[in-house]
Amino acid sequence: MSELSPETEDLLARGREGSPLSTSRRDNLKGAVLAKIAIGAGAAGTGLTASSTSAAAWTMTTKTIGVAVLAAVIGTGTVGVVKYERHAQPPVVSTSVNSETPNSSPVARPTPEIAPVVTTNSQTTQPIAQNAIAPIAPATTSAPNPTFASDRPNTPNSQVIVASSNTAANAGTNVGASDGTPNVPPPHPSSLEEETSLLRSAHDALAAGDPARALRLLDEHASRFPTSALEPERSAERVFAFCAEQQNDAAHAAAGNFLSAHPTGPLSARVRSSCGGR
Amino acid sequence: MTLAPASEPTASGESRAETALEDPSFDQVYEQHVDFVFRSARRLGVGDHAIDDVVQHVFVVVHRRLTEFEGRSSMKTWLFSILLHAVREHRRSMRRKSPHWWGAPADPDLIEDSSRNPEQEAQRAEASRTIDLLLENLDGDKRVVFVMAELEQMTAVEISEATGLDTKAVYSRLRAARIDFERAASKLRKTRGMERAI
Repeated sequence: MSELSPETEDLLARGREGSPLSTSRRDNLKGAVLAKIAIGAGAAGTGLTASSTSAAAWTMTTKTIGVAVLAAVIGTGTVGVVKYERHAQPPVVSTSVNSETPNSSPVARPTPEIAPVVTTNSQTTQPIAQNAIAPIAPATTSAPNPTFASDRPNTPNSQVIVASSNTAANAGTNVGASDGTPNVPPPHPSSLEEETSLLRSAHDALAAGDPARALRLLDEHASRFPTSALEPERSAERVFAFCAEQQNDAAHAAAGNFLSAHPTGPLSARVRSSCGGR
Repeated sequence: MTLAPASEPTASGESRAETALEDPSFDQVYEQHVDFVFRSARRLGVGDHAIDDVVQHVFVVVHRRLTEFEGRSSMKTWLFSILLHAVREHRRSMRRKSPHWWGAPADPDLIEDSSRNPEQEAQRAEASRTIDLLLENLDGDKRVVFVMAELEQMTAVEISEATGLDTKAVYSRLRAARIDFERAASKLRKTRGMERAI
């Protein structure tokens, strides 16, 4: 006999799935994750412990993602460049997160993936603690697999399976009908990821001494993402690119526009000190 | 309680299907499971002020460890084990700063999906809020086991894998959790019934 009444079972059935995150919330969260990955141990390692110090810091908006990712790139101009490369090995960026999975028996399974690489002065950093903590990887084939749902009144296993399949479908997993092979939709990178990546490319070009290419990439960014939350970073980078090209008039005009729109903030200080601001 | 062989589809059918998924990309894992991680964090008592960071933390770890995920456990189980550690770390951090902290109720307004039927969504959200409220009456392992078993419909083996509890302990905590949850639900129904009468 179940300890739960039919009314409570009904409540659980209605509220079990919960409400999905909004698209913007999902994107913001993902952007923040990418930002933490990109900026490496500092952000990820202190993320949890920093939680109580600033409520505003918790919800990373698109704006703060841009700042987080690009602060080191554009804000100071002194820290490393963040870029994405394709790897056949696990990500080389690691974090100092200190609460991970408990058990260990991992078998590394190299998987090509887009992985961020943090470079400083053109030198790729080494992993900090790449294999310090192993994931859970228990064997399940020999153990019995009791289900809690199966002892609910009027809830046979078949119903549970349907419910789970629905959940899987809602979560984006389509299980093949005949062989059970999951048909997973292809990944669709968020525009935020593209925005950030494009802006990083522009900075890369500028850092590599190719301001013309940087300006082209910034134009592309402005064309593709005219309402981007990273507009201040883009505009500031444009000023610096003009300066690097010794287009002082253009730099001055761009700096004027930037400072009109953004009179305060760390980027403003840099723009003021650039050739366009003098 | 009925025991089902591991080879048969169970309430974890979703998980078993995922087990067959080879080399899921980070994007795939994120898109498929972020809702699960988010709602589970909320149900484990992580307040609004911290939930984004806890969820981010989970996926930072996922990004780093994904290539080592073998698929011998389900993705949900693996993610839940990471989440449990993130939540515990978060609680330790919060308690260091505020000894009386336990967690704040979530703000459901942060969650939305305009593609759904508004009325259905409102009912779903209300039910979810009520569940979150009732979960406050469970503590420690009972809450974890209840969330995994009753809300995520994970098996005893999966819960055991994620929590480190043996299956006997899983069952005992689940039974105790069900009793506590039912007691709280019954009390809430009476209270709300009285409110409606007034």
